[in-house]
Amino acid sequence: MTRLFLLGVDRPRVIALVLFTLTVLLGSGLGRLRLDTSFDSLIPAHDPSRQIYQQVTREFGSDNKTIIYVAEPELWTAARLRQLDMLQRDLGQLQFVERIDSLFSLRTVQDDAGRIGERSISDRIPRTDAEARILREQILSNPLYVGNFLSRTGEATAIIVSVVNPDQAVAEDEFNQTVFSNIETLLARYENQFQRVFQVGSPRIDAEIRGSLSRDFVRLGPLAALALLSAVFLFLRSALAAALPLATSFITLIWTFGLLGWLNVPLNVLSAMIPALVIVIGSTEDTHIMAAFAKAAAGDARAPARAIIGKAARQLGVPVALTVLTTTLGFATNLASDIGLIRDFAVAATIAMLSNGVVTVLLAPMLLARFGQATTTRSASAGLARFPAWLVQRFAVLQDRHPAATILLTVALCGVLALQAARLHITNDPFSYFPADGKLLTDTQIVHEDLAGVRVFFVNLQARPDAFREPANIARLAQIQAFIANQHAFDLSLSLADQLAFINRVFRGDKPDAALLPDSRELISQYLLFFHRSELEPYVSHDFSQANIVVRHNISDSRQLSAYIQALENAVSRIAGPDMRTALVGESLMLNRAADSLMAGQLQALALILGLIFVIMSVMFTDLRGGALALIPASIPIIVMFGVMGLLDIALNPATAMLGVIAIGIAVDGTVHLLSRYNDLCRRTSDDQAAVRQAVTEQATPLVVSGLALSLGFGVLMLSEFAIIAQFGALAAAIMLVSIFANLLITPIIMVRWRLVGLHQIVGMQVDPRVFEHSPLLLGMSGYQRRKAILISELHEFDAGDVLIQQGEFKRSMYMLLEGEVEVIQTENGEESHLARLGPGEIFGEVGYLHAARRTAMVRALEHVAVLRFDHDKMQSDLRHFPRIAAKLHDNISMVLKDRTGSNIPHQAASA
Amino acid sequence: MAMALVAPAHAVAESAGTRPQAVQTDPWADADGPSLMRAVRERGRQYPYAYEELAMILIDKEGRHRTRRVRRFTRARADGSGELLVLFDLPETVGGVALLAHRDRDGRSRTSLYLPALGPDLVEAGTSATRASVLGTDFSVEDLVGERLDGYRFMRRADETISDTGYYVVDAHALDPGPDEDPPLYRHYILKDSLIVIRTDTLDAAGRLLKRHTRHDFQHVGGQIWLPNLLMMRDAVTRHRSLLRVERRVFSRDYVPDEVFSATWLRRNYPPVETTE
Repeated sequence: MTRLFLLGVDRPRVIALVLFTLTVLLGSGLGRLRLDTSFDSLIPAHDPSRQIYQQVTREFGSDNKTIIYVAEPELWTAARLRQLDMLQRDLGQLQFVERIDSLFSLRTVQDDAGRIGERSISDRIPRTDAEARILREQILSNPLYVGNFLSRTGEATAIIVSVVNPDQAVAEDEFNQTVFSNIETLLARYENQFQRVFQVGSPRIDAEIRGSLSRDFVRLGPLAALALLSAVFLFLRSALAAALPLATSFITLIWTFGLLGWLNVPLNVLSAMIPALVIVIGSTEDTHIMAAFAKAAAGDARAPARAIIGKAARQLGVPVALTVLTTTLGFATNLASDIGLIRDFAVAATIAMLSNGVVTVLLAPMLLARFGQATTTRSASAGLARFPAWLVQRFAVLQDRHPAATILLTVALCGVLALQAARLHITNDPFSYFPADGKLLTDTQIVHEDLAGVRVFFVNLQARPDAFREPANIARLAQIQAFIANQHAFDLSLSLADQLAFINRVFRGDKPDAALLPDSRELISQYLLFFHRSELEPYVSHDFSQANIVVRHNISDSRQLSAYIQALENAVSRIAGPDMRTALVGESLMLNRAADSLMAGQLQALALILGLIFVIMSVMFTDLRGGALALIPASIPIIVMFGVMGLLDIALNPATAMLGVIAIGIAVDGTVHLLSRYNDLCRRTSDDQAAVRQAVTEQATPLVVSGLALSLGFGVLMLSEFAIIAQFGALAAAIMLVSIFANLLITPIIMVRWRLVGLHQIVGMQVDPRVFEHSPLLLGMSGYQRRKAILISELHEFDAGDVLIQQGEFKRSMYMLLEGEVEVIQTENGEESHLARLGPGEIFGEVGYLHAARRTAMVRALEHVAVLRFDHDKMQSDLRHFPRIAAKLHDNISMVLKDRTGSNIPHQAASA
Repeated sequence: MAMALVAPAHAVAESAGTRPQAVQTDPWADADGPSLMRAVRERGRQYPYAYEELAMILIDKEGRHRTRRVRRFTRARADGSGELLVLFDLPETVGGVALLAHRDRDGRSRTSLYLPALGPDLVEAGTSATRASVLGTDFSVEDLVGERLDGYRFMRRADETISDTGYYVVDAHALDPGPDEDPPLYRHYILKDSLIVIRTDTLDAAGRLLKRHTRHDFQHVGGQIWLPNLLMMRDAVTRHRSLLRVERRVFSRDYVPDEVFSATWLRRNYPPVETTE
């Protein structure tokens, strides 16, 4: 990693050229980017009900309809009815309109005087207000109109428009937009004619999503950048620290969106978050790099930039790689999602996070080498910059004095919130994208209250041909509808049974209590003569083998809808009997079922990311406790998030459901940096408490700054026009704040009790492997045993002249030389005797290690040396579960001692 | 005296002389709408007794079709009164369903429906039924029996030539137009050379096409009378089509006895159905 970091320093022109070329090449894909706002992307690709749904909609027409709502107190005047008639006819003339269902198109078997007369209002629009009033009364007495096309007050009506895109006359992703525009342009001409007129349906949702998406893209990115700049500048007081994330984010966004264009992966609602995500998440690595650079520069201000960057890179390389990996994994866990919307977002976000990692590693050192030293001298000064240190001091009081109480309180709080999480509800309803007080949902609510909900599904029954000419089967339809009515969940249901009941009532004298179903096959067939085929199309198939009950509702809560649907499915199956096949189908139901898939997918993703982090961290620290330790600060924010969602009744939706895995991926970054630094320090000291304190102090600034910057950046998403993105932003902002608390307060309490050693620290020592292979201390050990023994030791470095062992001191440590040379000197009567000169692989101090005795000689570094120190007590403690390694070590030490008994000088070194 | 003229419809339709005889001059160039429509009606005046066996074919937008067998009895009297009976034979479950229309000498109509499965009583249909669809088809009663000339205001439009054939064009307006508009309800296209209405468009208030009624396969049934053996109504909105194909046509009093236009005859021949369920 260090080499990679230094590429931008050593070959700035080459790297600049590579970055520029890649940016141009990938950026050329930007023109190919496309938007996907279809509901299809919300439905699992392999939903088995999709095929049944397609069959049913082919037979009965689509459930994807646009409702034109018209409200007018004076609707029932001749003039207004003529305008309404004109409106519905104009709608019928629009391109792509397949069918219009309205007050005017619905035929009835009742004429003006209440006698038999198959007609529609279109056949005779009232010419006087008196005629209009009579018509109003007739229509209000017709159950096929009320709630469906006319409100109970008679002041609001619905024109239902079905649209088709035959042979893909326009591109599928432009179809809804075209339909929406056509209808909107037409409605504008009628705005002055009626009190209120608007459209609700897929085309409008599609258009609103596109509009909001465009505005979010333009607004959220810059706002996130502004928030980030403010946070970074306020805390780090560095122009470069503020500019660096912007530069990396800008390039990353071009790479990401360009690549998406080339890969033909569409942008969707969730993609509105990408610019803000890249800016805020990308900034965390930049912040850590800046902090490490500042620290390295502070240690030796006169050192050349390359040396400072090299030093920072040695400290940061692996943690940065790890955090890029964990963040990317957080997003990538959704790549396998069955829901297109989430999968496409996961592709975009994964590319973005990886790109950001690459760009940061290549660009940041290059810019630091060029401008770094001039801009990093004013950090850690007054004001807000002291906030992280102040926070650490406050937390230190709790950590030192009340560690158990702090942990218990946290556990209790998490427990309470976990209970609240049980109240979580799920929704996959596209309407949930929009704010509850927004125009779309307000309009939808108006339609629901005045007429019936705009969400539609079908109860489909299939039997033999002509089955639905049988009274018993018509009665079954009515029974199912009665069950639906008794559920008090759905707004309206309509079927062939309603049509037949109404005509029966009319033929039997139009008495409402005579609205019984016809009781013979012949009568049903004879009544059916009075229906035009187009009127029956939504309710019964051409050969009367299938019947359809059309249900309209306004339920968006997936769990609630699932419960009602489950009960209805059972009832339908029971009522229909064994001879019929039944299915409840509809886009709204598939979307609802997708919510279950969404939840299952997210739980899997959550388990996957937690498992991956556990494995990665366990491997990194060659200790399962390392994995467990990393999960604790990552899990606390997630529990808090789900608890808050349950408490505030925020639904799990396609955006908030992903938050868990994304947040873990991000929150664990701070933990990785903290643990890495702690372990680095552990290698140099036996005082774990001091190591923790120092690690927390050093990491406080980047952790707090990046946490606050992330929080601010995510907070910007609250300004999104999409409710689900705003919720995501608010929750993510809160999670980032909680993760600061978890990392700086809780993690250190646990860290101090679990001393971990990172594999990367050993790997990163750049020691000749032969040193380990040929060292007498490690002879005969397997690779694993050797590594374990080394990991329990401490790494120490000394400069020329430093004393490693002082003659006469009483300590039980043994050393293995990794780099450089030391000399063994014995002082007697003020006269120094040079006893030995030791090199890499050799050990010294083993007598003191085995037996408590004073050191008989001094060991001094002849040049810069690196040594592994083995403390007796620590080795006894850490190797108690590894008796073979302990035995082998003792054997080897004995062998070394035995060898040295033949030579006075080594013996002195051994007892030094 | 019974006048019998039995014509196998298809045989005539397929003969060489299916085209109505041409009128050599254009005496109607300056005629107004009502005059032209009166001439059309005079030219198309039918025999007083007509019996037809029809296939009623209903075709939906997907091209799926259903066929019903129907008989039509018409009786036209010299004083302008008359009767019409449309009687369903097949499918069996609708056998006996009838639409019975009486028109008195003043032009007033009374329409009744008989549904054997409903009971012995005929149900009176409203007056608006004349323009309403007939029993699930796209045809109205007027389409089947012809509109009343005194029920509309006829206004002549500019002649049109379509596919090298000249047409007189006459709009039919409501007698009582609305306060601020007077859109035509129908637009008739009349063959110039035979005064036969070959096409009738039903229009909406904005003059846009709702339905198109076309007549085909004309049969010369005597004198200047040519009758279509195939009527087609296409609904421009639903894209459904209804076809009436004349399978057999007989102009004979024996085939159209007065008693067929009575409830008694219907009940006797198609007694009310007992509930089978």
